[in-house]
Amino acid sequence: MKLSLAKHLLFVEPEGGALGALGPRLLELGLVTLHATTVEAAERIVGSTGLLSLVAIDDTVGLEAGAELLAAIKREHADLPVVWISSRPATAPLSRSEFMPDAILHHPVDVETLRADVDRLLMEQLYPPALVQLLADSCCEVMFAAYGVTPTVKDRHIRANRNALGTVNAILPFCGRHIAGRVVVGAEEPVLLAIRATTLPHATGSLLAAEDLAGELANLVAGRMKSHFAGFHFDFELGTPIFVTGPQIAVRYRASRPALVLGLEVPGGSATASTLSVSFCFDTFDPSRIVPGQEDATATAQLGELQFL
Amino acid sequence: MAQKKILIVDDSITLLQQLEAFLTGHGFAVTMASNATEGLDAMRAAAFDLVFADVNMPGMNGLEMIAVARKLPGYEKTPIFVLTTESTNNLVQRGKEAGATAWIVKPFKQEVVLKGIEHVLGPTSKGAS
Repeated sequence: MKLSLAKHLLFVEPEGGALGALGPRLLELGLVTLHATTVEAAERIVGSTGLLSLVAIDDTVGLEAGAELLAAIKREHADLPVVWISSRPATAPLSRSEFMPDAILHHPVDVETLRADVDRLLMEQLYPPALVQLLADSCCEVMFAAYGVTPTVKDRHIRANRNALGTVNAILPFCGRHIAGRVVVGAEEPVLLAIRATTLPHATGSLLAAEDLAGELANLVAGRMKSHFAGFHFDFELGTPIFVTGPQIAVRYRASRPALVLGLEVPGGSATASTLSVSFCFDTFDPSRIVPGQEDATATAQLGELQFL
Repeated sequence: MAQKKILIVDDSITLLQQLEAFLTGHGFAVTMASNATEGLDAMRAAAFDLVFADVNMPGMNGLEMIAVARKLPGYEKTPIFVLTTESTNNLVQRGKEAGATAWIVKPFKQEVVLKGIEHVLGPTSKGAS
């Protein structure tokens, strides 16, 4: 599965209600939406493009015909997520089908539920759970090893065309054969200074110091990611961080896929925990090459160890 | 016994301060440089017993700096430890070819760094770390 072009979402519904409700969100994610008012039109689209990320079928196009479309999609594209929007409490035709949708919603569609389901299914397709776990582990490993901090991954979502920024942000680019992108670390200044103080309790905190810590975290996370990915024969160069600092700043960019954003809760000295976001933005990348358990563990030196040359 | 002199070259002030605090606590005289050019200038100006070098820095990278440093008078055999987030074997090999003595993958473990230093410089004074 090589994802180098913008992904498409197909809505199969006579009226376009779900598409209308989700349109702005999908645009924000950098996704292209297609609308088929009939099952026949949907079949033509499914058969003609390999770029579909998700199909939403509203059974008002016809219960039996919709179920047959679902079965046809699942037979040909087992990994393509399908959301079924039902106009009836029971989905009788589906219960007899050997294929089931990945999510079922009922009319009247709750937009937030639809949005959450679409977000979840898209994220799982663009970033397989094992990959997300690998990246989350990379963040946690280096934060513990470098600063003795044990973060909790509280949130994971996708976001396109815009980074989740804090007041202080470090953007670290990376580029190699078959892989390129950026790691972005963003947080509020006091959060970064609190992390920094775990190893430098007597050093003076400043905005410059907070920026530097964000850059060092981005460097550590990218380095750990590179180490993990090397086991799957990815090789790339790490750049040096770019800092973006200030309130209410958005950095916009064009990329082929939404970024994966991890919200890390960092335990603080006070009762309130603090959040730090780490975004992984890939311009080029084939996540199907990351298969945990099949990595070459001899491709890298060990974290924290010294090796005489 | 004369105080041993260590140079740290890294573009992160956080890392420089962490390592400086650790090394001065063990009785070393520490000089810091925030890029390879500053590092080479420091090496030309003084004789260091050990150098720590990052790899990814703005301008000249750490491996290029090591290759240049090896041609400086007095630095042919000075221990140079690479301290970096980079861990791939091909880069470690490039470090060896450039003349690096050892490779440490960040985040560093204090006890590992200390053991490495003692291996090349002899026992350290056990001050506060």
